[in-house]
Amino acid sequence: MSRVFAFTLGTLSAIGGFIDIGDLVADAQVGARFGLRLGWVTLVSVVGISCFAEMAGRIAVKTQRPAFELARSRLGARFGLFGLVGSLAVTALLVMAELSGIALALQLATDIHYLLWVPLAALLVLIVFWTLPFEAMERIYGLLGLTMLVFVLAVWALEPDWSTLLRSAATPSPTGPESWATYLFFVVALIGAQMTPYEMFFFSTGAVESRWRPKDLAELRVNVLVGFPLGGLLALAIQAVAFIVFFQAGVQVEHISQTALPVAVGLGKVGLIVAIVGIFAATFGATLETLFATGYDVAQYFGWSYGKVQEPARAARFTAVTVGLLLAATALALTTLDPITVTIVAVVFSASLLPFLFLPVLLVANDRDVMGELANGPLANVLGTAVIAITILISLAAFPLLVLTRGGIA
Amino acid sequence: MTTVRASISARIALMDKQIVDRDRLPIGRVDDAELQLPDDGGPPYITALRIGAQALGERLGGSVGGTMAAAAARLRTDPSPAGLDVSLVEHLEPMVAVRARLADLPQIAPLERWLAQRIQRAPGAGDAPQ
Amino acid sequence: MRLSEVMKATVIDRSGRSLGPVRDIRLATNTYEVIGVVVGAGPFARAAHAWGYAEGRAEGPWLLKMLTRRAVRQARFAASGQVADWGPEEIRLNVELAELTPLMEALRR
Repeated sequence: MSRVFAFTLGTLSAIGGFIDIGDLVADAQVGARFGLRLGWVTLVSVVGISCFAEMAGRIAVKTQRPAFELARSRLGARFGLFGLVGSLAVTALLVMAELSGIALALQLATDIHYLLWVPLAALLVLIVFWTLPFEAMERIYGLLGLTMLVFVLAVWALEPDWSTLLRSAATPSPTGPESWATYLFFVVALIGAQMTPYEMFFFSTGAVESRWRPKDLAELRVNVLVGFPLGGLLALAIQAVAFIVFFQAGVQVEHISQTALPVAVGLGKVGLIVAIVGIFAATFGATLETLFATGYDVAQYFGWSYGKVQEPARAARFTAVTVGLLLAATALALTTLDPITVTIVAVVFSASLLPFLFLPVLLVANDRDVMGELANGPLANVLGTAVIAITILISLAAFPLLVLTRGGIA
Repeated sequence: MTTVRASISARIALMDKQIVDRDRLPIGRVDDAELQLPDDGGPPYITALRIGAQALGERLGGSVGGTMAAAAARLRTDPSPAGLDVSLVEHLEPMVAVRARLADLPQIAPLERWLAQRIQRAPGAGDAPQ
Repeated sequence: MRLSEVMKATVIDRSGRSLGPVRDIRLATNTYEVIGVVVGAGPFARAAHAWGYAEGRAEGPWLLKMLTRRAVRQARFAASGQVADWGPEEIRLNVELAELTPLMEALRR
């Protein structure tokens, strides 16, 4: 039974990185403005994150330690610190947006203003984080996240002209009124939203917790090859429904609630309710995952114990840092900063940090003294190098594009 | 006399490595190490591992390192940074494993202990390790 | 003195030529004694030593292996017996650069 769970766990969690608030916002905006013309980016993201999740999992299988433990010695303490500070900033912004997302889902359901829900959402997150062991969190998150499949259903229910969808997907250029700068900006935003750091963290620590050994590599790979493409499919579905419903009408996505609207159009009230549940689950789960992963980043940088299997008092510094992050994010959310803008900035920022994340994994995976016969083969290296090259380009272009397009608005 | 072949790289195999205690609890990282030069003119040898944000800050130097070291020093009662005698080291791969228990090494991770004492008063926090 | 200080020192050979910064220190596993110092110039030398190419522990990815190839060839090992002064900031050798063993060769002994 636990083997079945281990399998589904990997698959479900892989989906998670494609349906959090960054994805919802980016996919809806992209669909509304570019149709499926950025579909190829999702393909790249799926290949990229699959490649590195497999590597991180393989490292964990061989060393029985999370992949990132060796990161600091490869990057050096200084670069590692830079990446760490960056990821702390990104997390504060992302969690702020996620809390707003939870609050907005609650607003959709109750008509009470979302700012009033924010403190409650934060409290809920705190309670779950404090009391629930990580594995239980992941399972519940994964299962509830499946409700997001309603977006795929909605594509069908909306009875689109499939040739239009295909033609859009096959046209990698901006639509009429949009500029190349904006098109490229959303390439960056999508990559940042879809290649989510905590996915690699999960595969790495999940592999250790599930006590996967070299003989379980096949299972690990099946998880990767099923989970991430499924996540990519969900992302494309969100783009597609936004395309179908908003593009022709020329509607801009300015509000998180608009991401759920197309589902209502296609599947009616029931569809909307499922979508709201899905969005709530996705944002709630993502908040926990993001907080956890960042607390973990800080803990493993300094070598502290972290809370994967420990109770709060047994990993006190980790707990303190994570709770501190949650408080900072709550404060940010209450400043009434627009969640959509913050989300876009956060995913762009996240995209620019990807090289720091991927490079140490690639380096460790190639170290024969560490990996033995499990060291990278040519396929992993070719893909890995290509992905890192792409993330370096993205990292360099991210902020100039952000400024040039004023956050994708221009 | 160890051959070069059997030797290890300080940069890759020692520096920044995760350290765990006898119960496999994380202690910290190898943030630096103390070297002694013997009087007989032989090569230096490591006497202790330096662990903690203060040691790391002093190693990084500059304004970043300086701030880190100063902040960490403020949080300690002991003026000198935490050191772990190298005789306590059991082995170095895959992580640095130490013979003692974290509880028996009060100079290491005092902040963790201090916070744990306070956190365990909250409901559902579990017990701080003794 | 500290390990980090030694690892930041510059190495000078007997004729006063600077061999660049210490790239690595090799340690005995039982006594934690310093067996020797690693130096090396060349493009991407830092990467070559920090990521294991100079030691031969990393075989890929191909691009990085190619980029660090020259630095790997230029890596040299100075045994502790060849060090005259360990003193802070500058490590002085009692031999010339040409007398130093290439690192890969030293690692085979």
